Amino acid sequence: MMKSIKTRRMTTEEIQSILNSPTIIRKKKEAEQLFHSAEFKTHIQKRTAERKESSVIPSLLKKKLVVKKKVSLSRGNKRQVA
Amino acid sequence: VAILNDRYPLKAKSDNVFLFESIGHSGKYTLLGSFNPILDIDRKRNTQSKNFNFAFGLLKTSEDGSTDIDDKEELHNGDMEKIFNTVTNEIYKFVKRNPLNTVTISGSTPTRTRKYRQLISKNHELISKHFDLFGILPQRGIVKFNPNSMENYVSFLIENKIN
Repeated sequence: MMKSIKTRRMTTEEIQSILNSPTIIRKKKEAEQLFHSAEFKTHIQKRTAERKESSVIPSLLKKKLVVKKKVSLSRGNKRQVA
Repeated sequence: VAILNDRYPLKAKSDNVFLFESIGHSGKYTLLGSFNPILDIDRKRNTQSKNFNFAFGLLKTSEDGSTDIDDKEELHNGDMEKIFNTVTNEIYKFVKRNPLNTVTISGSTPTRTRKYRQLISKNHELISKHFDLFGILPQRGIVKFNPNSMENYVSFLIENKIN
């Protein structure tokens, strides 16, 4: 069971002090070297495109379904009227 | 939002930084995790980086008030799993908040990177439900993380799962 304690929000000064610390700067430089390799960039670009596509397609399908539903309802109504 | 339950509560947090205490048989230690944006040279005008490096270690505050983390010290506090669960949960929240973000992690020493690999492998079934995980190999580049591989990954790349 997790002990419940109140999590405090960190101050801007605290965050800045951490982000400017020597270890964080070193780790960032190491990661940048890796990130700037051609292979890494290609991988990230490809995956970002896939991720965007996977989030866009379901929302488009949803919209399409809603439109279809509206159309079928209006047809039904017309038939009823006729 | 939680994927692993046996974890430490956070002492303090911001959007990209969090602190918690490890309590074990060697004592009480404050640990810090930080998601640091990686400068993207192709998007000079875009300051909103989507790629982050995750730094993790023991919080050290010097007398002048400056802060640093010690990412080399081995705690041997007997709570490795609980620390892993706490960190994994925060990475999960970070990636879910920003689904296009990616996070790279590497140990400060080869031993620590191997330890990360062991912990990820042990929890792979659960982790792979939420993340797409890649390993970086010096010879072969970026490959899908294989929990049974004997190869030594130098870094790990964590991404939001594509359904």
